[in-house]
Amino acid sequence: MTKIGSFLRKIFGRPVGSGENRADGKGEGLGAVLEETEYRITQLDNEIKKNLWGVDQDKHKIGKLVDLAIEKLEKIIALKKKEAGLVLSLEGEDVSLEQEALSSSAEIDRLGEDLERFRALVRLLSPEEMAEAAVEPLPAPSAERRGPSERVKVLDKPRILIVDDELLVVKAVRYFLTKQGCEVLSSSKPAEGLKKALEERPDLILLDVIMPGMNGYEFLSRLRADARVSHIPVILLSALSRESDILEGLGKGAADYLTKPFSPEILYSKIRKILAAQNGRSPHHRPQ
Amino acid sequence: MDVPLIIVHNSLRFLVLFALSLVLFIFARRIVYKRREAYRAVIKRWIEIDVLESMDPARPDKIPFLRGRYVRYPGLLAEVLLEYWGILEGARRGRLKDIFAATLKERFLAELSSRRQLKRLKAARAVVVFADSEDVPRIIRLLEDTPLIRLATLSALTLSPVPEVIDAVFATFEKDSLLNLQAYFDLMSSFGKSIESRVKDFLGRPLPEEKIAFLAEITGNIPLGSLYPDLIRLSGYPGVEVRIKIARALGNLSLPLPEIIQALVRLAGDGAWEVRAQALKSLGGMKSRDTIDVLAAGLFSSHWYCRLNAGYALTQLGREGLERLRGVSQQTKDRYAADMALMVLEGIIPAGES
Repeated sequence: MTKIGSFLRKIFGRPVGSGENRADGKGEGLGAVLEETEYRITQLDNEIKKNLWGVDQDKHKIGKLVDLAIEKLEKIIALKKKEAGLVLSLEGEDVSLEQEALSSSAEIDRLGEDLERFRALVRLLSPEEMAEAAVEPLPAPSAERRGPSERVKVLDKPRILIVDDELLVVKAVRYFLTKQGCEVLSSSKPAEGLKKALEERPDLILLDVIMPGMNGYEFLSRLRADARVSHIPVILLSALSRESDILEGLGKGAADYLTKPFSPEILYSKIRKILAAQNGRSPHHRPQ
Repeated sequence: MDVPLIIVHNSLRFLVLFALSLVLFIFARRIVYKRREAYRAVIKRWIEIDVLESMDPARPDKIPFLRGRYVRYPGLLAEVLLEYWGILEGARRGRLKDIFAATLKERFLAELSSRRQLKRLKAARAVVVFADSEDVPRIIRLLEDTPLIRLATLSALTLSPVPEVIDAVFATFEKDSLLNLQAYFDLMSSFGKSIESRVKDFLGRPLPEEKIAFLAEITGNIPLGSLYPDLIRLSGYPGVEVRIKIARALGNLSLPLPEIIQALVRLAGDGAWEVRAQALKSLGGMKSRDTIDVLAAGLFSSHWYCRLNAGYALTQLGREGLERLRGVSQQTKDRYAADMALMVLEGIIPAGES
């Protein structure tokens, strides 16, 4: 592995992409692209670290450097998307981590409401974190889209779609459910969420009620009207907590109703219960 | 060139330069602010991720890490903690309290003594939301601070009610101006039935009319059913505002007791049309057939709202109420009453079925 590769190993915890598979160290395609792009990030990274960890406190300079690093990561994502054997892939509004890429040292995040625009948020590691990243297990590759014959696997790694315009809720739900072994898809716009539901066929949808453009009830009606997705259970997650609101939500066909603020543990237990009932298994079954 | 001409010339030059530098300053300031905001947004997202990870009980190491990393961004860290507090419940809130105690509490407690009101304001909100029982004396002191700090404390208490400060809240309510009434309303509503005895006590005190009306409203809003005798006692209060709130609160209690119905019937004959209108509306909710004559008489009121509320109240009495409405709609003595009865009937029964 090259000097740069060894530095990246420190930063990202693992060798990135397929670059190290090349016999001649140069190669073509994905490997070459990775090294070239990573080299530029590495240079930047040293500078950013120097700034962030106390040598230079000039915030504007740091902001500029972070922006530059983000730009580089965006290029990586765009380049890798074109290649076979993707390391990173874009899924609708999310950038998901596939295989052994960027692990915990780089956090991919979306800025603004423009669904076509993505930015990678580079998190810089302290020396302790670096050491930790080197031994931390990497996320497993995401599950393939399930066919009807694989429904029984739902409880082991359920695919949950959350549709909520409150990004903090999306982030929190994504974090907690991912920790529980769920695969989480998200959308902050109901129309996009509906499209994603049709494309991805999640096992369950978590749906906010008050959203701009289309409210949760309308979303639910449209979902129920489409035979391809009408079977998907929906849990409404809303700040509306009056009895009449809850009854209305359940009356529209929601499998359950949870009010905000919510407990992630209760949310997960409701998800398990609903999915278990749908798949004819006990909710107490734990994934292996 | 003459001296006056030189002065004019230089003045103009100065003005142009000044205007240009002002425009430049505005643009530069805007750019700096934009960049600063973008930078803060990036830091905030890091904090969000780290706080989420710190909420995992299996990662106790994360809390000291948070303290070290974001020591320069206490405001942003507090903002994120408060935002998570707003959406999460249960054990996670306990973790948020732990994070606050380990990272920001000491600093914010010191800021509570700051002479700068803005600093105290920011600190007060976080300290109150993440308060433990040991912080009760501090919260009580904050309730006695300036009106702005008091308002922040009240709204923070609404997010995180501390039962131990109920007495202090009522004591402050008694002394406070009327400006913060909405904040008291939200807070007292969040305390629920636990404030019943205090409300009863305060309903008997010589408070300003607005505060008595406020307490009546709270009684109906929670609702505090056992306080209906106190409301009935106040139904003859001289102030109109109080009688309106009493009429509404008696309806909101949803207790069709004879005493309550009698009080509402009395209020339906009040001198003020606002009280009559509210009493008629509340009487409808009682669904008592004994009130049918009172409600039908309300249709002949000289005030539109009274007629409207009486009409809709009659629809809540089932067939008998509807028949009475039909009867009024067909009479010719009072055209306004007939019109209202017809409008209500057409509104609730699809055309062709009436």
